Amino acid sequence: MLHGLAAAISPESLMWISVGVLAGMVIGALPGLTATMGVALLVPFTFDLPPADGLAMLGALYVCAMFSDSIPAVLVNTPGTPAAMTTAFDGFPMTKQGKAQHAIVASAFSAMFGAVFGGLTFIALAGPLGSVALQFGPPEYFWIGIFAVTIIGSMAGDSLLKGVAGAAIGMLVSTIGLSPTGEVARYTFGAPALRGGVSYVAALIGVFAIPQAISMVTDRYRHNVVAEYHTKPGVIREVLRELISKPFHLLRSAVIGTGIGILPGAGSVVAALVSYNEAVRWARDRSKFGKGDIRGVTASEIGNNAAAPASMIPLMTLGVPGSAPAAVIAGTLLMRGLNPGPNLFAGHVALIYTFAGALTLSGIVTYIFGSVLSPLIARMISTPVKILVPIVVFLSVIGAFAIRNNIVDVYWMLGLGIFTYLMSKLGFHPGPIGLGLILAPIVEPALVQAMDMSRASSVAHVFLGSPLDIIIAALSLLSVGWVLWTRRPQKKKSDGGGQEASA
Amino acid sequence: MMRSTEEVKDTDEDRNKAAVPVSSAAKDFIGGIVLLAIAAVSFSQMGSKLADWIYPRILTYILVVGGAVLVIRSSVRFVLHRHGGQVDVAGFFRQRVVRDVLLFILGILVYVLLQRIIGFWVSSVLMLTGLPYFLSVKRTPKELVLELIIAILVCAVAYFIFAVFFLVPLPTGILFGV
Repeated sequence: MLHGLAAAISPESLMWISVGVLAGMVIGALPGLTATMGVALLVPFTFDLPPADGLAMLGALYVCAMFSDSIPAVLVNTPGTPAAMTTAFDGFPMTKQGKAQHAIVASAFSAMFGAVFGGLTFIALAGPLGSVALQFGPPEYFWIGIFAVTIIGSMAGDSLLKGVAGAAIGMLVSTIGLSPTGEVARYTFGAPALRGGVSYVAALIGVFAIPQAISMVTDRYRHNVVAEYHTKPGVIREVLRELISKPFHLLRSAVIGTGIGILPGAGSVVAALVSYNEAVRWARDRSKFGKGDIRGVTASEIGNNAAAPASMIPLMTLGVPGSAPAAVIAGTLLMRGLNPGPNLFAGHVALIYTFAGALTLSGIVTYIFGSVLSPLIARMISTPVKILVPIVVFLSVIGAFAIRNNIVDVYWMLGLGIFTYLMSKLGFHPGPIGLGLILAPIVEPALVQAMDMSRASSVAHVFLGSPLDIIIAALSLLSVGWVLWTRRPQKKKSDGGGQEASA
Repeated sequence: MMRSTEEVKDTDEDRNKAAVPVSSAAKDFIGGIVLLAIAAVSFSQMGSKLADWIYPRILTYILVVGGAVLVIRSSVRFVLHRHGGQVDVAGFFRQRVVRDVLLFILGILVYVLLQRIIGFWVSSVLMLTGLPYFLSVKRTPKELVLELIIAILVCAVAYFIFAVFFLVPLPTGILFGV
């Protein structure tokens, strides 16, 4: 173990970690280019490297992409990857308040905190945690998805009803194409082009980027730039001081991110959603969330960054990838004749701990790069709207097409973007629509598989048959109850005024 | 009922200022109709096999309930408070902001459709030149030349990153194939 960890801090390893971090910085910051795609694109470059260095570079890219996806989320309200959706909720309002650099530094610090926590958990507890992940079956994933859905309460704006309806629209859009059983084409209207369904990444770009671009067009008479940014000294110190004063918030987000990251298939997106939701729930002054609260940025970013190294735990211990990038890394190992799982743990333990060490170090390198570059990144927001808007459209088209090399995804991206803009004018917040798009691929297959399992017993036995099910279901119910309870006074106020605010 | 005079006054002021002069009740009513329309389309396509349709069916019921509540609630508000019932449709489309939005959407639709004809990079240069020109407050030939130079630079950097370094495939056109 120590030999493996020492190898992670060798100059060669640090160099490849830095290369991975730089590549991740570019990949994550470009909407549509996901960490999975980045890892896959970098795989050929690892063929000539020793396995440990190659893995270190791929892991570093994954960790850094989970940070840099927050850059467009913070600057133009467009998540670089789906995992940064909740980062935009508070990151973009911070930018509007002239605190773009604060948000970037907070995100970089969160990347480090999350990756270090997840990486250390990997080093210390890989074995026992890996076997816990196997306890999760379709009913548990269904309940996890339902638990994540309750975040609507934090992102629905003033109308919970419209939030729920928006999430239902997002989920319904994601059902277009072949059903999970693969037997039925749904909502295709006989068009073969629709059988492949809607890429949720392309759809997510549309839901967030296009309405934002249109809003910038309409606001340009008042604001020539998205937000003013003036370089201020001492921002890094100021942000660090503020964040270090919230140790419980940081630890809670890291524990949630790590816990969810270990579950195969849940990944960084759900980790960020749940972490954000819990940050809102535990906060005393939760009214600031969604309006530029730095805790919103850190909760989301620590959650998704802790999930990145944690998703490698089931891969390395059991051979079950915890996320899509982990699956690509599994493929890389297999190409080298290394079988991820118990055999790898038994025969190449040094390699595993070098990888775990590299993931941990990637968080630190990401923080260094992110902090040093933060003034430069924040200054990008001073680009005139007339230049920025076409570039957002240009990158959105590239991102939507690049996912599956399918022009239909670009049409979906544009169509959903225009639809979301119009719906936002009717008071439907884009957040729940995006949430529905993200969670549907988790909730529906889990529901269908659990229903299949219930044929052998009963629905109640499958969905509430284990203590784990009951715990997650109870948490989901508590979460729903909490949302309704916290919304009650606002509803009274709104009714009293006779007006209901809209987005 | 006592607050209606003040509210109507506020609503009128907001209507003059706002980009989209539609009241809260009218927004709810239109939103509800949209939800019901989506639900209707969903029902028209729905099959009978439980495993394939249970999930869309649940979502569609949510939309029906949500749409119905919004329509009924806003209708009650129209009747009881008599506010939000008047929507100036002609005035809405005469606004500069609305015209800008429509032209912008038209512009990006043309951009995407052009990619299939003249290719991604050529259409991107045109879009990256044309949209900034459209969005400019001062439209002068000098601005146009500057925007063309920026467009070419952006495309050159993007070409290097996507096509050369990451080998990401991009839409090809019939005429130029790039």
